[in-house]
Amino acid sequence: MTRLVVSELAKHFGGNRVLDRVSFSMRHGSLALVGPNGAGKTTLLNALAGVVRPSAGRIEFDDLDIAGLSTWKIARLGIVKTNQVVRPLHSLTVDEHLRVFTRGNDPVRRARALRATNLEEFREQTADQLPFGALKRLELAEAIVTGARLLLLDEPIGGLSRLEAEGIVETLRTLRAQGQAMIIVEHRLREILPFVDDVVALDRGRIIYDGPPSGFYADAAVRDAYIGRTDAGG
Amino acid sequence: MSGEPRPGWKNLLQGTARVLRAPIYLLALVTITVMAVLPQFFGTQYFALSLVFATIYITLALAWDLSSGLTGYISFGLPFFFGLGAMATGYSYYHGVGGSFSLLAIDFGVGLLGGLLFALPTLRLRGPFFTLLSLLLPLIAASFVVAFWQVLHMPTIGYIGIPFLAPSPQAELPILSVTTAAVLTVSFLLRRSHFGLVLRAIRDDEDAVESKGIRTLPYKVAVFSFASGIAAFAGGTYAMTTSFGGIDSFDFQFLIYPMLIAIVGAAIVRGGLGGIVGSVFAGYAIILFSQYLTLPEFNLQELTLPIFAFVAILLVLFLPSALGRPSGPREAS
Amino acid sequence: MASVDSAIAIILVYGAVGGAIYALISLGFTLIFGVARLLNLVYGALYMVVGYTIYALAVQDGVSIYAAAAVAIAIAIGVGTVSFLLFVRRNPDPIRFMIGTLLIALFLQYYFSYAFQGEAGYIIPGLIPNTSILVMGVSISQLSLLAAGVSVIMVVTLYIWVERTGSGRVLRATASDPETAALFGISPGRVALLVIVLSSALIGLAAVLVVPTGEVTPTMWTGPFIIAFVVAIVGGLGKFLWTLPAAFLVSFSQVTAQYYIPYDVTDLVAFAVAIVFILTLPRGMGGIWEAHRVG
Ligand SMILES: Nc1ncnc2c1ncn2[C@@H]1O[C@H](COP(=O)(O)OP(=O)(O)OP(=O)(O)O)[C@@H](O)[C@H]1O
Ligand SMILES: [Mg+2]
Repeated sequence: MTRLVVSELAKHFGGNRVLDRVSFSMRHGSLALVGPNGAGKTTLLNALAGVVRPSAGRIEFDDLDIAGLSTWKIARLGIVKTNQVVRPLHSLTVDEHLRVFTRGNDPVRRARALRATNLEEFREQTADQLPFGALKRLELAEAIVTGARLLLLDEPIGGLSRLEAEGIVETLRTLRAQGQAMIIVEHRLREILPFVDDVVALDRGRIIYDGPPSGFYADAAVRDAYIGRTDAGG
Repeated sequence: MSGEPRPGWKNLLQGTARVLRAPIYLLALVTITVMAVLPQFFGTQYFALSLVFATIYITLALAWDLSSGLTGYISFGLPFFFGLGAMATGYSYYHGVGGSFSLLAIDFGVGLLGGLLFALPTLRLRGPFFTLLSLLLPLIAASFVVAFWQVLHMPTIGYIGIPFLAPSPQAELPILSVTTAAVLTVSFLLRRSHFGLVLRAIRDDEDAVESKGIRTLPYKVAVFSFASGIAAFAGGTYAMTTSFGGIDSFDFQFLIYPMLIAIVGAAIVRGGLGGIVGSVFAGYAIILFSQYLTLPEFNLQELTLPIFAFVAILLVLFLPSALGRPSGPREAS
Repeated sequence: MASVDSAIAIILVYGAVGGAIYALISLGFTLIFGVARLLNLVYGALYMVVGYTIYALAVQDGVSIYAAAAVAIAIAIGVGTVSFLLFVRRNPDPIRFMIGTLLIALFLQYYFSYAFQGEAGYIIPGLIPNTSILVMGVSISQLSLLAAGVSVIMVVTLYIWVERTGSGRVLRATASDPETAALFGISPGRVALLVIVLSSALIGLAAVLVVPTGEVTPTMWTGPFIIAFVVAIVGGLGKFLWTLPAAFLVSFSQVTAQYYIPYDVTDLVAFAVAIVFILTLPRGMGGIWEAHRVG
């Protein structure tokens, strides 16, 4: 079991406080990180993955404080993030993408990831030629083949059709069943919440909810953030 | 090498053999062979000498394409390592090292070490530092030799009287063709290996590569050092075919021609810079043409370099495929 | 051997005048990088273009030095602008721009070498006679003093323009954040064009003032290029308001080393200073240049 404890994590961009002393921990193997646009979800994932350096706070992963380490060190420790905006290596084929990133250059692992993300038909195509849905799946496949113990998925089904999204959710379910730990950032709650163990909701850089999915919709602060907020009350 | 089979010597050899069956690579080998044999029966001494220079420039182009073309970390320091090799040859020879093989081995080592020392600090930094500093290298080296040649006990601003590789250009050509073919083979294998794949990935998006747990610095430093060793080796062969290892080997013609060759080569073999093999075909064509223009009857000796520099400008402008797709800033996400 | 007093005087005078001249030589380069984020390698070659133009007009054809200087600066602006337009408008790719502008500089080097017969150096006249006067007991060329004076005026003018005027603020806004500036209706392309004209004019002016103290040769472009580049590193790439202090630091390091070492080590010292800064302070004196860390 992977252990992730985030305490008092803060990130400022100039004077803009994007993460405001965020604390939470992963109690089970999967966690949905949700919140309105601009809440700071991507920034939080970036801080966990080392893409941005936190202004303050601790990130303990298996008893090691990883806050501020470089991305490749964190990735080697076992945390790998996907990008909200797909970011393929444009001149490489799908197969080459996976060959670059596969842990131990293990062909079996690679073949399994190709199958799991339904990318077999695109193997020999370069990223330039892929449709959007395939690029989204490639983003996921790249993360899977690294053998990371904790995946940080930034809107894995964002922008996809209902059908395409179902495919990815199915893949995620399978991964979960195999014991893969993951944090999923998503706006599409209906598709994601049913199969995660916990939900953390962010609003303006602060945690407003941290609990099981069952209590999420009924929570007053969550309702406020999503539907009922009067901005005057702030 | 291709990574499909499980590791092991037998598989490695089989994989290597499979990669080397590529038609384009075989065609390049045939070209090198033909060019080595042709002047033994046909043409003037000048023709043979031109082909000798062609092999040297092709070796340089391969080195440049392997490191700069493949990684996108453009180096303008090629003449520095070329000149370093030429000077090292002279220095070693004056200090009692005999035998072409030992001299060239020393050159390779010196280039490798020089490349390592330069790359380790500069390739840590992203952005334009590396390219700019690499441009300073040949400039500084030239002014260093001019200032210190007496202190360094050089006979003049460089070493004269370096022994020839072989008694005639016709005899030198087969030797240099073999070394060129060897550099081609190693570069081609490296490009097709997992190592080469990581380098191509770095060119596309280095941060994305690091974010998946691959530390890019060792890859960049390794390929740059190796290429610098090859460039210094080429400088050594140049010193041994001209009998002089001096300041003129820091000249930027030893950047312009290799870059031109690599760019034209990239257009021949699709896929942009870093394609390796194209340099062989482009190299013979460009160097033979340039040597042809230099013949006295055209009275263009002095104009050859400006003409080729101009052609290179036009290619960079109008051959978008050659440099690959612009790698503009990416959206942070 | 000179006394300690005169050693200090020599280092002070040559260091200060040299620093001011270096600032003039570097200003255009740091400006382009600061505002357009482009490393323009034609920059040094423009210096050479001015040298040869003045030689052709004033020495070979007997045109007055003022007219020749004006024409030379105009040609430098023309060459600078055309190179920029060719490589930036058509292909906005920094790698292509660096390779392309380097090739233009090398083309000019080989072309001048061909057109003006080899490596021989030529002397060109200055705007004022190249006689020396004593400053603190140190003999220094009047031309160098003029160049230093003009440099200080240029740096101060640029500073006031950028800090105090509306059009200057546009420049500064573009330098610090091109994307946001664009949102406010500032066209980065237009600003970059303005900057390229300005920087070509600045290096042209520097050449008119400084080249007469040396020689015109086909490889002379490397001198100002090395200086401009090292000053840019020391000041911090993009921090063009740090050009003056950075130029003084480079100049004083060189003059001090040169005073004690009997060989020409100016280029080596410049290179060493650049390496030291890159290793210890990659953002330079100006500090805040973001080292391209994106996610
Ligand atoms: N590199 C940066 N520099 C300055 N501000 C930033 C940076 N990255 C993010 N921000 C700001 O931080 C805030 C949170 O952004 P973030 O991308 O983390 O939100 P998010 O919750 O992922 O939103 P979305 O659901 O739209 O993806 C935004 O106001 C954004 O403008
Ligand atoms: Mg986001």
